[in-house]
Amino acid sequence: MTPYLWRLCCLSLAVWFVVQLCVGLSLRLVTARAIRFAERFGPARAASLMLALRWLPGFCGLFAAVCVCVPTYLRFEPLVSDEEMGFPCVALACLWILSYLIPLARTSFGVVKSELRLSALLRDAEVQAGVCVIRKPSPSMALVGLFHSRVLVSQEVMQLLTFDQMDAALRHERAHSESRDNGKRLMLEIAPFDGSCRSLRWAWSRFTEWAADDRATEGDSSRSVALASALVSVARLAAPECLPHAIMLIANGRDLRARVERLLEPSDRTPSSFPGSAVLLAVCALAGAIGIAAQQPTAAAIVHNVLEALVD
Amino acid sequence: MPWSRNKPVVAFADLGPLEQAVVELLWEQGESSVQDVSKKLDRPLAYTTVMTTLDRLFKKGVLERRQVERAFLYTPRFSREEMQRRYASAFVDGFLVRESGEMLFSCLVDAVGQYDAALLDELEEQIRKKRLEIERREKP
Repeated sequence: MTPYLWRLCCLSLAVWFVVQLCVGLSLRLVTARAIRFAERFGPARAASLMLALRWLPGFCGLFAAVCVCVPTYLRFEPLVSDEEMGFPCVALACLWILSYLIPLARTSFGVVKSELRLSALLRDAEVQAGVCVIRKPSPSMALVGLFHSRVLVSQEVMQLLTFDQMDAALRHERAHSESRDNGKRLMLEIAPFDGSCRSLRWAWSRFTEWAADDRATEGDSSRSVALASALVSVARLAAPECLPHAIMLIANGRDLRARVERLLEPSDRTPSSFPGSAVLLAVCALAGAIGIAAQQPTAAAIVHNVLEALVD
Repeated sequence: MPWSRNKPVVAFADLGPLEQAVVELLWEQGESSVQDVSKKLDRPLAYTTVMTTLDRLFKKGVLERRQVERAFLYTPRFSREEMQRRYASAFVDGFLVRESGEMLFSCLVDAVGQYDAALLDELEEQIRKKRLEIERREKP
């Protein structure tokens, strides 16, 4: 790689990382408000918004690198220059690599491990009406797999749940499958480090569960009760006699309580419609405006000076 | 193999036939020596085979032992129910370890073994009331 391209590459990655981090940290300040705001659009839309927010810092960084940094560099930087890359710039570029590499490596490792465990489980599993019944005593029911999702149920859960409960629980898992929630979960996990708040992920998880509950029950109150009782029964299967982690317990208990209460007393309020197309249009217009403004001679010169400072 | 409190917890179903027979026997008989176990087993086995099996189960964290004079006395570390519960909890926790990226599972309830029994009682009561309400509404 020529020094010219090497500098461009380092500089772009450094800019990407800085913008990603700044947007991520700013997002951290408004996460709680964003979650409350998203809630009014219904759980499915709210979950999508959480996913979009999780990736927003990365996209802002990409935009800054591609639409601001690269054109300015190509315009102002001489092809032959003896300018050396400064340590901060190289360090920021390395941090960009780590910010993507670590989540990616951790997720890949997790996927491989999950697949190995899953294949070991499925070896002894019995398939009944499209549901894999596992013999191991894991009192749970889960949707597994990315592309070919399967519902995994332990024998214990099969024996425990009544027909209505099992029907509601299977509808819940199929709702996850139809929404491709495992794929979205993967997207969340591989999102780069950007300093944003972890509560975005928790909120996504909560909204996703709520959305699957809503799709499973379809407003049928009997089915809602059946699903609520299935949740409590499965949670009870392994309820410990003593609870050493009080804080965790309260947090988890609150989630289960919220889900059950939501199923038993659904809100009468109709979710507001989310102006998706308008928001997308506004974002594109804003990005276009920034991109064009950054190429104006005065702005471009300022950007170039800032980049020069970063390179040095 | 899932781990719990620094000790491995194996599933009963994952133990070999002889190991299962030995653990079953210890659940019934309580604390026993190698000799006691070999006498009470259905099939005649060499003393050393039983001793090795008990030792293996001890190393797997399934049994506890104490030395009385020159012999070891073995007891199950957990009751049948406790063993199943611990294994299940560790097993599902293993699936839900999000830090290591094992997250490609959408579970019916978020994590097993973290719910307060009082809370579950309360929720069950709410469900019962709601069910009654629906039944009353549906009756002509």
